Amino acid sequence: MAAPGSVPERGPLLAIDGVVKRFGAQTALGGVSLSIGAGEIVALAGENGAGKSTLMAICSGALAPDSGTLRWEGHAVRFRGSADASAAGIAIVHQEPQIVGTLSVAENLVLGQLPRRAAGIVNWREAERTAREALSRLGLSLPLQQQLGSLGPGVRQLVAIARAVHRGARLLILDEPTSSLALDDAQRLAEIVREVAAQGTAVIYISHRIEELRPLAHRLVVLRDGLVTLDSPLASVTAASLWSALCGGAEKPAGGAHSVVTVTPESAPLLDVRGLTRRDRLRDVSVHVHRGELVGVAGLVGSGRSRLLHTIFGAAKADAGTVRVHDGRSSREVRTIADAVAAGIGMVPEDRRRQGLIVAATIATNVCLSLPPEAVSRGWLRRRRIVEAAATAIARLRIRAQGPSQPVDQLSGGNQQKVLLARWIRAGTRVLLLDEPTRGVDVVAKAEIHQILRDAATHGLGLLVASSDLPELLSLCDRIYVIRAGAVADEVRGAETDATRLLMIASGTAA
Amino acid sequence: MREATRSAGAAWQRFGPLLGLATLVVALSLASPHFLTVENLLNVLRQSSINAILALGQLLVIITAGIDLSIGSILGLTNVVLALLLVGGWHPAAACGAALSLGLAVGLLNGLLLTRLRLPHPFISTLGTMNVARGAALLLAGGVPISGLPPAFRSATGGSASGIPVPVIIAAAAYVAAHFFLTRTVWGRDLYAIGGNREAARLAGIPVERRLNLAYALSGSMAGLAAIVLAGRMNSGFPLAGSGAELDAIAAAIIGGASFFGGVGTVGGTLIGALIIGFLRNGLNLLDVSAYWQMVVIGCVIVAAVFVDVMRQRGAKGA
Repeated sequence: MAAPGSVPERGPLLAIDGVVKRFGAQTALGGVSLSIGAGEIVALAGENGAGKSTLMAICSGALAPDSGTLRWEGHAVRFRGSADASAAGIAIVHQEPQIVGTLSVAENLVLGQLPRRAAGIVNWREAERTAREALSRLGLSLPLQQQLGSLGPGVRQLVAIARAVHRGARLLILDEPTSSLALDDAQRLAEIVREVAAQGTAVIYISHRIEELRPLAHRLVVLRDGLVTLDSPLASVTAASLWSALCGGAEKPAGGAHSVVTVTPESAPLLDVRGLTRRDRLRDVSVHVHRGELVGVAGLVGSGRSRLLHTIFGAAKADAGTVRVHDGRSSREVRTIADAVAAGIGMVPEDRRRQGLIVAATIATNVCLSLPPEAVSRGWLRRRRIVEAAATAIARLRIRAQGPSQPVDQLSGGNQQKVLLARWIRAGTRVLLLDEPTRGVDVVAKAEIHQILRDAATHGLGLLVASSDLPELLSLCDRIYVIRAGAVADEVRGAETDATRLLMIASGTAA
Repeated sequence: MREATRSAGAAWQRFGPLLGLATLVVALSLASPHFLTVENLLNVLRQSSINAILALGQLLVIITAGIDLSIGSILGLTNVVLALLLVGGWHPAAACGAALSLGLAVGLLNGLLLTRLRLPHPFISTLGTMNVARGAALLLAGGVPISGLPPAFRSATGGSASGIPVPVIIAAAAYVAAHFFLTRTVWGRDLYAIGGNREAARLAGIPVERRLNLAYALSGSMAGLAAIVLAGRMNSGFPLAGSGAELDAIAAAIIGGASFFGGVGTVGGTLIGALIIGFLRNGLNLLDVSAYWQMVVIGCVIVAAVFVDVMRQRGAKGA
């Protein structure tokens, strides 16, 4: 068994050099170099959107790089599809592995390669023999005839890995294999990965759970915004250097202009969330936001950041706890999205294209997707008001567009994000929930969006901002709640902390 | 390049149907001397009116990225119930009101199956009601047509007003109402939003489930309206009426530029789609082309229309 640190001294199996990949105006990879040798286990980490998936899609032939080279066993290669890469010996096992749950374990192991006799009759004995061989190679024993779907997510991963190795994979890419696994399954998986590597297969292991990779991986590579921010032996990586590579904690927060509205402590908070609980995802979360306050929500991927915002907005049901919006003497309870909108809460979700916009529709339709009251009269649309509202938004938020009737899919990411902001920055909105408000937008748009949020706070809105970009939270927010495993781990003042400290709290490594 | 393909696709989806209809009319006028006469054109409109009304309901549902397979059966069921009520001595207006309400109720049931029982796809829920409604129609009618409708009903729904057949007037009224509903009201706009991006619509505060219920209820009531027109024309209630009619209605909406992906489709386009089908049938009849070939031609037109939609989608994804 190969222990961490004992990498066989040979030329790299796969060497990626200066790979660039752009999607439209967005740069997913801005010149990434990475190499891996036979029998080596490399851990790959990075926030959502850092470029991990794009990089792995390039390695496995699903995408072609715009520039840069791939060398496989010392020879430059150009994969023209996943079939090419897979023929060369590169296999990828996804989070939800490519198995057929309704077929047996044995059938899955020989999927697409059922041994046949003459006239196309399946040779089941041979199939079973091959399946058994594939399993025993990794020291696994599983009920061959049982439906794979009935055996739990851990077994599905193992079968997918056994199949890839048996088909001659020399580089195995595991895409967050443990994110849906219980602890004992994860340990079993680690043993198998070690065994695979000991047999000479290189492994790229993508995971957010860095700590569980320590005893397993030789090297850690961290991506951030499409660049490698860390590439070194895992043993020498400290928590602080890891977190700053992940989240850009080393950057100086730009500006410190916090909101000017002073909060009188005795006044009731505008947004008052108490004891919010949702199965095992949210545990007794209490947060509040005052008028004119910019409050941050920090936490690692999967900590419950987005879940919290969705639950406050009524888009996910809470099992216990209350959400109230106080305004002067009146106070409204929020249980559903309709309640939230009626109480003046707006939400800008994380995934613009999937959750926010109708990309084929116009700017006007998207800005007024939640219809402002002045645009409706007894169920009839006042179409001129809708166009006016969009025109006003374009001017006020400086959306670079031809006009209200331009389709949003022709806009850049930053301008699309402003369209989403414009939907809720309007008369009647009191609380704004924002999930990753500047993901995938360029630097200029990011600064403009920050200014829009500060202006909104100055006008008396209360803002709750969830973000994986810690310098963003630090420069923007008055207070920051740190969420860990669905609960509030700490509450800190923006001015009194730094990214490293936040991340230590978020990961539970703070003293 | 992609941009060009895509805007070309969008333009085809928008103006292709109108161009197709115009070409068809010109070609048929040249091919047959009997085609371009007032009498024949009114005849086509009258024959197309039932499919046109059904297509309107289908359009609402297709805009939400759904489908309604049950409208043909709802037509049959309401047709039988209407005939039974009329023969039983109900006032024609009351009987028609009952037929519309029944259509609405069955349509609402479709919606509730989808939004409350959360059946995985409207294909399933409406396939279920399609069979239930047809079975109910056959049970109520005892498997045979119900004839002898009162003359007052026949003259009101089967005749003409100032030379224009009543079915055409009814269909025209439904089209005008549907156009305003879809383009000028909050409910219509919400249907487009739901079909365009259901999750975005939900997070914008649109009551997605209520709107879906409304779309299916309206689709059912359009089937009820079509049943009234049919009863006036046939002078009877026929339990097998409308068998397969849902497919012609889907074809009309799709040929008229509605997208199965949801969020796209217009009342004007659907009218053109229904007319293309009507003119094709009529013209091919005049030219003495067999009914079998007519099916082949209409099938090809449907595939062409969907291909245009797919091209547009590919363009949108590539951009």
